Amino acid sequence: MYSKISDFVGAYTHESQTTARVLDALTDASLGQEKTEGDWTAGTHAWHIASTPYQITNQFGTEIAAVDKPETLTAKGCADEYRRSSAAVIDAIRAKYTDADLSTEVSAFNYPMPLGVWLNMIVNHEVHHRGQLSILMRQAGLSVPSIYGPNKEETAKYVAEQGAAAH
Amino acid sequence: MYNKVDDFVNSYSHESQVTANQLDSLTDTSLNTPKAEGHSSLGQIALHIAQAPIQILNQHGLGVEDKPVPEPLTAKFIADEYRRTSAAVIAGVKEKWNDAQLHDTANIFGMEMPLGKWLSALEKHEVHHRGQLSVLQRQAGLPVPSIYGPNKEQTDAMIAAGTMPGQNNPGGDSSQSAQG
Repeated sequence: MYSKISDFVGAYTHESQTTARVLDALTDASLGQEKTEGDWTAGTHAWHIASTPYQITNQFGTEIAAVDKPETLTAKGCADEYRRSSAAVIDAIRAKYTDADLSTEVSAFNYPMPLGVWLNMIVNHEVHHRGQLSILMRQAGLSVPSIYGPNKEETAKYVAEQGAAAH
Repeated sequence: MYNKVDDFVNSYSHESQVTANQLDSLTDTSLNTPKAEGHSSLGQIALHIAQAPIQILNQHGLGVEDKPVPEPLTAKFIADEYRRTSAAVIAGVKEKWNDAQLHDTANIFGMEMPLGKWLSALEKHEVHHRGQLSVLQRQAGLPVPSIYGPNKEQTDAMIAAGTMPGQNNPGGDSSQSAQG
């Protein structure tokens, strides 16, 4: 639950920079990495991350242009679409709502909740799928940029520099 | 950033029920499932989820004791420990800090941010690792309860029943996609 629009904007601006960095680390070859056989791939996750925020806010009445999933998904296509859609969501929320609106119930997918709860859900939903994607990226042999602290390579470098004794 | 203690408590109470539910679906044998060669295992990620809430806020005076980790690690210990730490965080935040104090700077692991931002980071950090865990659970052959919507089995059932939002309008105008 957010009580101020600026709290959502601050949090989502920060998280979306991280998400964009993660998507930038994808390669076309990695998009087919499967969770389990026949299940979502890295590409499915990446496109879902790019599309969901505006699909949710459009349900409350933001009018952000929908973009169809391309026949052939590319890593750059996912990252570009994410940058467009996340910036559009931030702009639309800032333009359309005030702090007082955050306690008003809005309905997305027939599920009514206060707007401030929905906005937090948008952020958490993205963090959830970004976490899933990070596993598939590792399994595809990619490095994953740091998300909430040093990544594996940064940690290893730090430990090497400090010496095992300092640990 | 949380400006109100209640906002954090409401949000984290919801998320921590989802997390506890998910940890309940782990089994002892699944704990050794690796992320990838040389990376953390499912059990290490799950234990990290269970311990992080108090490790973060103990740095700012929460004062909740660590519990020794059993050898070998069990799924039950992880789920019990998570319930203990998440409940301690909710109770501790309510008891120790008021709305105004959420703007006070907290130095945690050498990093300074307002306490309200740390509370948000605590929640998001958990959601991140919970997402990672959900992939490894699937790969270990375990079910994953629904997190932010229907899980795979529920989605398959909705598609079979023709009740999946957007099903009749694939890739179309999302403003209409939930009415299916």
